[in-house]
Amino acid sequence: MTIPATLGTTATVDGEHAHALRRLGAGMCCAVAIGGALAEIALAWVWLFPDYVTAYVVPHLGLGGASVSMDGVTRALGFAVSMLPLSVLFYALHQAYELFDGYRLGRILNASAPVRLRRIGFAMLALALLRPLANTLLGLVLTASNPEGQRILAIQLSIDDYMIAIFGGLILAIGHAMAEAARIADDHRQIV
Amino acid sequence: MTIVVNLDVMLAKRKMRSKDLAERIGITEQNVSLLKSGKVKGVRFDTLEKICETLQCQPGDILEYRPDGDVIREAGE
Repeated sequence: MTIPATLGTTATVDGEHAHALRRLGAGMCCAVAIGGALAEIALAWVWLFPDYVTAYVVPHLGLGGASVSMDGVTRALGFAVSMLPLSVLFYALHQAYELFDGYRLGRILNASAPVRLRRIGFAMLALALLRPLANTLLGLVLTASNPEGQRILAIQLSIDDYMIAIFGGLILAIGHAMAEAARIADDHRQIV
Repeated sequence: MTIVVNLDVMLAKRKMRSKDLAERIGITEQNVSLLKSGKVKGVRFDTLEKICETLQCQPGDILEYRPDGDVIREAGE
């Protein structure tokens, strides 16, 4: 979905905060890009090797020491399931990158910033729901080839998911506040 | 809009170009153009003061209230 052209009005940053905000934007662009790339590489790396899956994935699924399958198909399925929350995270990171890129270029109170903030907020909320769901699915995938009675459906809720949801709600609220600020800034631009 | 901006009329009366007015009152020519066409949401008092000072006129010479019907009738003519 593209941001409507009517929301493309821009207020550039001037004054003492301009330089700091541009530097912060540039730094965050790099951090977001590197973080996204590392997350993808790390996920693929973990699912390529059964030992890493045992060490880094299985302990977080609440399978209670049950035997898990590590064949190629299972790991491919596991990777696909892990990509569900990660794809939402990538979407949020992409929006964050665009937001910080705007700050880097000195655009702060333009109408696209609140739209991106709200998208990040919705993505974080979706992530908070998808993480436990993905973990449950991973547990099923890894124990699917077990004999009947040893397949495990584990549902785990953690404080991390709760905090991600709170963070998402916070970003969403800031996005709405920023939309109001952008509207006021746009009004000011139309006063000569 | 029921507030009509007669800046172009005053500029014509004073034989002044938009560019010159913009330079004298310290706003961009684009903003003067927007003001002339009434495509602004407001005019700051200090801008209005500078316009009146430069064009030697009153705010009422630049801004005029017309009921909606009058504007529509005028547009039809």
